[in-house]
Amino acid sequence: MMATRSTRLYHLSRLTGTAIRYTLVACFLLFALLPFFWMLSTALKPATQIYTSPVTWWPSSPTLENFVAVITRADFTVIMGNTLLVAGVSATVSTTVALLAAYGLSRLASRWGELLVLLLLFAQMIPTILFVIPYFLVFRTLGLLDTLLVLIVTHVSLTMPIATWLLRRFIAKVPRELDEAALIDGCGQVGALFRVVAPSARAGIGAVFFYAFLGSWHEYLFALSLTSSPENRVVTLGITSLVGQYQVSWGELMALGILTTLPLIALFLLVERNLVEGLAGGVKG
Amino acid sequence: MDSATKSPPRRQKTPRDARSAGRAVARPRASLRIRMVFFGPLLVLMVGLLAFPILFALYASFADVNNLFSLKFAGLTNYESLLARPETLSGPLINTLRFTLGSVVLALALGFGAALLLNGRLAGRRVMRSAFMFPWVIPTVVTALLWRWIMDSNAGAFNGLLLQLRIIDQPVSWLGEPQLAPWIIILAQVWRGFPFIMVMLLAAMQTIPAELHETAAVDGAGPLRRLVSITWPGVRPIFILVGTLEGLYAFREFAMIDVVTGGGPAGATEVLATQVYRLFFQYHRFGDAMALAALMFVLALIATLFLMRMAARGEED
Repeated sequence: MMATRSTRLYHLSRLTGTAIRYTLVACFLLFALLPFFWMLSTALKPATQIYTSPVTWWPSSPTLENFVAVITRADFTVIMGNTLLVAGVSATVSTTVALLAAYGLSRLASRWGELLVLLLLFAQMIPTILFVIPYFLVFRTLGLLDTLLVLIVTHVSLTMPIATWLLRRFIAKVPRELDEAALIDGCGQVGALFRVVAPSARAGIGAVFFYAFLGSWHEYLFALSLTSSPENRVVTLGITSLVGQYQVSWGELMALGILTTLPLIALFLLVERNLVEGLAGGVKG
Repeated sequence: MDSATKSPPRRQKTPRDARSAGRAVARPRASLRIRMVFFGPLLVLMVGLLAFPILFALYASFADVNNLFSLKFAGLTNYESLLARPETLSGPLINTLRFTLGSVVLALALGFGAALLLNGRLAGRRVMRSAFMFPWVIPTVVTALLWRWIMDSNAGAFNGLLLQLRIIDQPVSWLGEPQLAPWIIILAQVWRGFPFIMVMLLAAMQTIPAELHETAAVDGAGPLRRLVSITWPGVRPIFILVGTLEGLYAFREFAMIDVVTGGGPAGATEVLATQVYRLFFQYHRFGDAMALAALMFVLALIATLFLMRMAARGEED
């Protein structure tokens, strides 16, 4: 008798535990995702349904007019093109430099290696605004202000340290026998890296590239202070430039926000597993 | 292998080699040329794009920068000028500390809670983890605008929801009140920051062997006891590290504040980063901007060293 009752109690408490757990997970998910719902709902509303009381949670007749308006505006292609170029080039440079250094850190004995790793971590500590003023003065002297080149260079400085730090782990995981075999086959060290080690670590390299790409795509402060003309705008500036004007069109803003985020979400889903693994592994040391 | 790589002969074993011998075979010392191929680009960029600007900025904080060209050494003039108007410094300093501490504590709490919930058997965990990461993927300015729109006093979702639930009967101007606005930007920062913390802590939790929990459970340790004695020690190093990173990122955050409130209302959300930007690019008080930027650097440096010592002490335990 006792046994059945306690078993039943046990099952009951297990059941309540599970119910509580799922309820809490649902709360977290609501917190994380409700803002996205509001973003999408606003983007799909005709202008007349944006300012209503009470609030319209879902438009009665969803429309793509905000998306069409944003895409047909001339500077959409400009800001997307600029951003793709800046993020693509700066992430490529960052990842390449990081790959070379990560291989060096992992394969060449060096008494400076640990110091270098520490300095890379340290670079994360420095407030970005501290860089803005020297960059501004130097690039002004060089006549390079308000160019995409400035953004590429500064974004490399932003993403390179963490890229090196992360790649180190992915390279260290490639078995040493692989590059040793390549060396015996007559590849130089550089050949061994690019022909053997890099292909074996390509999933990790992809994740690190995404991380650098994301950092550049997100960047706002350098773009704001080092570029000014509309033809050199990147998406972060393109979005905020819509705000300063006399009236904010929230429908168009949210549509633009969605459009400029979709490429990132798509890339993220591609590399997610390796990214999480790499970030977590990188932290462990 | 050594002869094939044409490397110089293996050097004598130093204590350092002995220390790392457990991890790897003692490696040949590569030539300087090879080293330069691998480390050269990184070193050039680190010196040119990181070290030089920092030294430049620190020097400029002690220089006469009024016309931005001469940069003649001027002692503490900039610092004296900055401190002559202490309100330039004190408000943003307090706001920065509140923003940093508030968002780190809340993001760590939510991230840890969410990681605990997702650790263990749960239907659709992989999908949920991806969904949780979305706030981390979208650009900060989009996040900032989204929260500005949610908190809009006329037609924002937050007021709309609270009005419909009859929690409030008048729309609240969330971003217009100096007492409320700082907490709204903290909320937006937490929303963006907690998923990353969750993912890192979850990864750390999954490296803890399940047998540890099972053995402890058999020995009669309850969930709370296991949380304190098994889960916490397992995630502590990563907890400190992600907390440090989150704190440093919050400390230097610019876009979130600039886009959500622009420092307002009445300076209630002005932080050090936005203040330096304003001093330099809008008020053209170049010397004050340099001095304040240098002070920010020193504060970040002190905080980092303190947290690193804390992390190191934890590892000795």
